[in-house]
Amino acid sequence: MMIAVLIVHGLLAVALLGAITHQCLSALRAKPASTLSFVDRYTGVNQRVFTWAVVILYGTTTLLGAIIYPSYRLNVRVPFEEMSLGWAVGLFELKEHFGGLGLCLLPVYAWLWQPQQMQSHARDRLAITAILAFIVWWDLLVGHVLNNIRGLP
Amino acid sequence: MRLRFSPIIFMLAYCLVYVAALLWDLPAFLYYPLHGQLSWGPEVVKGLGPAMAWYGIMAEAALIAAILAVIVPDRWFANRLHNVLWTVPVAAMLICTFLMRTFFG
Repeated sequence: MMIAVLIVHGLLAVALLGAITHQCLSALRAKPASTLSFVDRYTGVNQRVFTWAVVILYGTTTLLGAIIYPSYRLNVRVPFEEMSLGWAVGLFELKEHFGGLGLCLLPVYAWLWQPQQMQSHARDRLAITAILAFIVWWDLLVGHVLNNIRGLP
Repeated sequence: MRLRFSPIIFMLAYCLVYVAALLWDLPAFLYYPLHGQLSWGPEVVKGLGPAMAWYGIMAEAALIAAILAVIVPDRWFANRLHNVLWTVPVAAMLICTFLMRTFFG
């Protein structure tokens, strides 16, 4: 059962990674698309349409992560400690705390992407989106590396 | 009085409470995955296996932040933190990283 939840958690995380990266890079690229290159097509999207997808995917992915977490605590972290892999435990601790802090960014992130705020909060919108993107990338990469060292039984 | 949820106050309060709870080891409750039990407060109950504080810290931060987000007017913060809002979560993440440094020593 936990393996199934872990797989869905991973798949949703990949979808979230795609959505937030797309939105973030598009927001970072200030100039409008002028050619039809891959980069122009990738960044030349309506950034606002990603907002609710990111909020829902982030919330769902974190919820599934919270369901898996006890299994990690018992079946993965304990062996990590026995193998003296303190750095692996530390990486997961950071994943957990960054993920938890990311949750509180979601309301302000959704608010900043509302049409009323488009003119007035450009720097905050870009920075909060970039922070969320960093958290998603960090959490996915750390989760992937740790799962390669020792997955859930 | 009309209540309005402020996402700015929610973020500020959540970051503050989360970091404080982590810094002073003050989760609202601990979860013991081996037995599926909860204990209120930060005191670890012996004999129940490893304790998890993350749920307690998040619940505490979310609850306090949600209350403050409804009752504290955000105009003052919104004006002063205009375009530097992002520094608060970045600071919280840096403090978390600093607190976790012992794992990498």
